[in-house]
Amino acid sequence: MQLRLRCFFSLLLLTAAGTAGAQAIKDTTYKPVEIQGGLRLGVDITRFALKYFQPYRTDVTVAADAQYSRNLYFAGELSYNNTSHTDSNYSYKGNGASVTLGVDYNLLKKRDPGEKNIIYVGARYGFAAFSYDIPTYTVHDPIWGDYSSSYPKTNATAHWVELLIGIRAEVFRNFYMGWSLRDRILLNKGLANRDFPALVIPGYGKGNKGNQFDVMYNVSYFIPLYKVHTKVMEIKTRK
Amino acid sequence: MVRDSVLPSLTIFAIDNDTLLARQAGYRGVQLPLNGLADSSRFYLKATSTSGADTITFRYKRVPHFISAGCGFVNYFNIDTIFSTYNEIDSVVINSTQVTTDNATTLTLFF
Repeated sequence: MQLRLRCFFSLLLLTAAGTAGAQAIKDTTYKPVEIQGGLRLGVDITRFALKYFQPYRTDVTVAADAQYSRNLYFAGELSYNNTSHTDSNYSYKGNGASVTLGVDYNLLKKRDPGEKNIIYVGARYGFAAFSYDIPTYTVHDPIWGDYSSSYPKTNATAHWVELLIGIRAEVFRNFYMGWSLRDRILLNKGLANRDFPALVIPGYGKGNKGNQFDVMYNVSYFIPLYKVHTKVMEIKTRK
Repeated sequence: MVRDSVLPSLTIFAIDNDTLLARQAGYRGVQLPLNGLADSSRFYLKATSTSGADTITFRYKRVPHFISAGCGFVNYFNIDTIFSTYNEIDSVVINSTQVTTDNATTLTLFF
């Protein structure tokens, strides 16, 4: 395969040289090639850094993707969230899980069909099921006195659409790293507009926002499993 | 003539509670704290040192509302009714029945 690809590239160079000569006739043929397909499993390391900035959040996100065709990948993420917070204003407990499913599409066009480093755009549908309760909250009022109450355990589901752009590179053999920028648009907006919204929606972000921007940094391992069949264009020149 | 006036000597009590302002000059508007422990609040209001005082009563629903992870909760109020006596006050205009974290003017008093 390596040899064939080298031939392919040298042929391209010849055609570039050949166009200078006037009477060259070009034949375009498509040669089938196989790309190593498989399952890429990764973990999002930004979720661990997040705990430093938002100590009440414990998040774990794992990501997986599999190549379908030359430029298209099926991809998804599984997330778990546990939120626990107590201060003088309120206490909060929540946990839940989410799943996202969608595709990534490679944007780099002029490349070796088996190229492993890609720049991609993607879309996901996200779904989360979670529950939360507010065991106690206090509205502080220096004039009339503090008001304390609680909010009972509530189950909720969230749906969102996620748009993303990212890059991914093979750092060592079968070992990948890459980041992606994501925007999540909550479909059931009523969830965010409640008087008692969730503090965190698993896999989504802040529970009182209808739109969430996020960054993921995935460290992943590729397990070769199958072959993806595709074609490369060959241009032959004859006089 | 209607004009935005500075009150010469403003006294406000939260009835059953505390004095909020006592004979203060120079106020064009005030913020009244609604009682988060009850569904109504009454305020004694005297705008000048000469004429009689008025009582304004607010009836409302309390709606606790989450602001942010750092701030926690506040009470929003949905005002049902406002009663007023008309000793000094000529009329009361309700601009908004929703008391939230927005700095909206709820009530305009005409003297």
